[in-house]
Amino acid sequence: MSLHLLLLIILIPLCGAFFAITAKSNSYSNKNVYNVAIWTELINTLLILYVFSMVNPSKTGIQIIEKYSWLSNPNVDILLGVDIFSMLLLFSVNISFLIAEIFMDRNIPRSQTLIASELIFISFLNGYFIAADIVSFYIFFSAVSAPLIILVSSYANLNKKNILVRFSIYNLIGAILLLVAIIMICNLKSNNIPLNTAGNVNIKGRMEYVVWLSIFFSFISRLPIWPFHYWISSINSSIKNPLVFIISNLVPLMGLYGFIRFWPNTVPKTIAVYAPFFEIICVITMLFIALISLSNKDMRYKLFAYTTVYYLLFLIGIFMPTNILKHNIGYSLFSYIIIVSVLSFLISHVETQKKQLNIYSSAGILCYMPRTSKCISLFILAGIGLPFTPLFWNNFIIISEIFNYNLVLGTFVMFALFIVGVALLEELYKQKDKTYATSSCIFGVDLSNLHFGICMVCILILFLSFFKPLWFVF
Amino acid sequence: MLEEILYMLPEISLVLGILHLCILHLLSYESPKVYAKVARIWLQVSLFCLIVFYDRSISIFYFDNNSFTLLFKVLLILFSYQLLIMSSAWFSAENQTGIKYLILIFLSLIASNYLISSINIISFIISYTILISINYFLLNISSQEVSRRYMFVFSLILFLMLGSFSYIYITSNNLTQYKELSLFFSHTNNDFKLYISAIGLLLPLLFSLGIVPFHAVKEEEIAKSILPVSHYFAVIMPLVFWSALIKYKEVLAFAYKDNLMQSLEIISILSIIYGAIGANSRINLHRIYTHGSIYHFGVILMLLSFFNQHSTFSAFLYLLLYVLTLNGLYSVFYNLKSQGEFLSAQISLSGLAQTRPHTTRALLISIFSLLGFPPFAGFLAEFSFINVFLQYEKYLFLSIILVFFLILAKSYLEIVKTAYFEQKIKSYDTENKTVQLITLIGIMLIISISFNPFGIIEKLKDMFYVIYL
Repeated sequence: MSLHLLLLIILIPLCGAFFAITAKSNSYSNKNVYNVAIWTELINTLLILYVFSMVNPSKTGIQIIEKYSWLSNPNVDILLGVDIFSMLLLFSVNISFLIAEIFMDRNIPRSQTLIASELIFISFLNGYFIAADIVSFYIFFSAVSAPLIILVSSYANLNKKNILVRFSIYNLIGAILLLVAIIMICNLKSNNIPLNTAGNVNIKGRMEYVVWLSIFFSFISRLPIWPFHYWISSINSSIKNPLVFIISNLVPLMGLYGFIRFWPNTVPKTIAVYAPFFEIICVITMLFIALISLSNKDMRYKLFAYTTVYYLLFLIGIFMPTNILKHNIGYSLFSYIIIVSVLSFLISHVETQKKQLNIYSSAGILCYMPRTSKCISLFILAGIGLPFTPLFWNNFIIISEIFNYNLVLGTFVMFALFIVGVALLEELYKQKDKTYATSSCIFGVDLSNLHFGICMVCILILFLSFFKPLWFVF
Repeated sequence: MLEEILYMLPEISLVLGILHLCILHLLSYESPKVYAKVARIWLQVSLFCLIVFYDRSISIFYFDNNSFTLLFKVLLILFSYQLLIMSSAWFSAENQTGIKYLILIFLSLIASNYLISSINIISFIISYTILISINYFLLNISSQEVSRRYMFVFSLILFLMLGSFSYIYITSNNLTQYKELSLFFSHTNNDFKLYISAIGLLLPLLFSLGIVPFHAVKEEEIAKSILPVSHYFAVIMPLVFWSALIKYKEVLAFAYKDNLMQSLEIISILSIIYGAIGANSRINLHRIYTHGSIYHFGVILMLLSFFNQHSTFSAFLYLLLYVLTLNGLYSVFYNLKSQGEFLSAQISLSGLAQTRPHTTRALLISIFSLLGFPPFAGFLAEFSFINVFLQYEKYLFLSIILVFFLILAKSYLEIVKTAYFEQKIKSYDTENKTVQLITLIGIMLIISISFNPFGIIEKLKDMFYVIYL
């Protein structure tokens, strides 16, 4: 008896979004909207923890199945279900948003739109991770585009107007390709089928190519891989709002999750032979973005480069001819999402203070913000592999496997990770080095107790996960 | 006699509504709200009578009412009901009573009811001609030039239609009923002249729907009309003409399906291409959506060209969801007013997101629905039509539709871009609460219908399939 818990995980943020949309637009209501968002996310996170406790970690495959009838002809039932991997992503994403909502600056324009779109995005993203059949998987995959377009329209750089259209068209192409592939599979099986059986469908001839290439390109459309990298890099590097930055940085996660669900066991050999070509493109993209980040002065761009390079690392991990990496990728992603979210807000905090104090350069600025300095240092070090988070040893296993598979590939991947790590450390060094400081009168701009406390809680979560990845499951 | 009067009650109640409106006018009532309220009451009465006598007809030789006709008539009245509320807000803002408009809408509904129920070429031609004449007067409210062009084009078409009818009538030895004629056509399907005559009866409907290359007046009738008339042409009329076309295709033209299939496929592809490209070259919102309609109607026609039950229902579903979405979009237009003037240029949406967040959300939801994003109504339509194309292995047509869909999507996304990215250039007038409420209901419908509440899709299917009995 699941008590519709999975459905509730999708619906709770939607209810929060409804409150946000219907609230009046004045300062008192805006405050309420933020509080509603925090409570919504808190309840959802607790609910996810409760569901997590119902999942048996030793069992493989989808658990806690919920079934809802939708259409009778064609017969389409919506299946919801979770496994350890999807629960890890659900938990980390919801924690990230909870952190984001607490950290968020409450004086930004159009906050109702921001919060409502964010909650709708969370709801659809939760649905995407919970979907257990191919039709509902598509529905949530495509539905995420709607709040995303609103957020990008509202908060992207005004100088890059045409990017919105390209961004939306890319999304639309991906969605249409997936829809075509999924309907083809449904027609072959005369029914909607569970997600984990999609690869067992016996497709022959040209149809096989059409279905799998459509699925492949639909997921690629959400990942910053050449030649589809332009929109993501343009959008992500131009977004200043940390919450929207986190949201747009979760879009590649969707592509990654799609590959995880479809790729490892299921893709037939005729298509899988092309995987090495794809790996080469991934490595070139990784190196290219890592090198740009080294030359770019903007900390946010460096963070974007870091997220991209790590997403591609996980993607290459998925393409390895082994299934043992899936859980390692899950544990790594858990820490990675939390690290990126906190870093995004810390960078935003520094940028806001810089702007308020009219300081041109952020060099040496962390010397006057001891708490911020500690937090940024810890999270950057955690991000690039300091051995106190699960990111360290899980990435170690993934990279080892890549080396084991192909030495040259492993070397290039390692090189890209090294460069992106150097880029982040270089910027950290600049911000911490007092000799670069342009002003000495910037005291009192450090993190508040609440924000510092949250950063420490996040560090604690990462630290405990280092010893026991599922320590929070009772 | 009494029985026949009872069966005519849906139309009689509309006639009584017209009389009531005329009396109010004679009594010099000036408030458009009073007129609209009276009109709505009579519309409710008509709806009630329609449901009670849904399968009763005044003359079974000319008309046949069943669940299929009820479905279209109910949709017609529901959308008209909303149209009356919105138009009353428009006429209030313009300081007009709108009585002429209301009377013409009622007359149009009567003619539409008979056109939908027609099972005989004579009743079809008469009700169609009356409807076109009413449309002429409606267009005349906005622009005499457009209405004259409209009447000129349709005079030629009516002439063609009468010619076709005369030939069929003489050749078939005075047969006029659809079913009799269908049987006659199936026995003589090698007769080219008869085939051309059958097409001659189809052409007026294609003209009225603006299918390429018969789209001569489609853009003008929507773009140059006042908002309530444009709303009527965009939302109400497609329901009437498509219902007539579906009936014509399924009953009368079935004998020529092999020949018709290719012709319909070609013109639907032309519509798809023209609609998608045309939408990108326009800067007026009404014109953009008119071209969007041409594209979507192309898809519907393509689905109908398959000549099977499944694709025909899919076409109906596509039409219904499209009209629902377009209706939501028109609700947004009623909210776009600056210094007493209703706006229609794309540029007038500049900065809308900053000043009118609720209206922008409604606009966005409508556009997302048109783009087929779940969980909006358009998704169900997209799912349904792609399913049909893949089932019948029409991969080439599907590819064309999807490629041009992306081109059309660009024009819709440009609207979103204008609303969000451009700097505000106009200050908008205060929004009408009633219009806002109706917009909200319309948007809720767009959101909720894709969840298939109460198994509504299956119920619609049951009603629709009566046409095949």
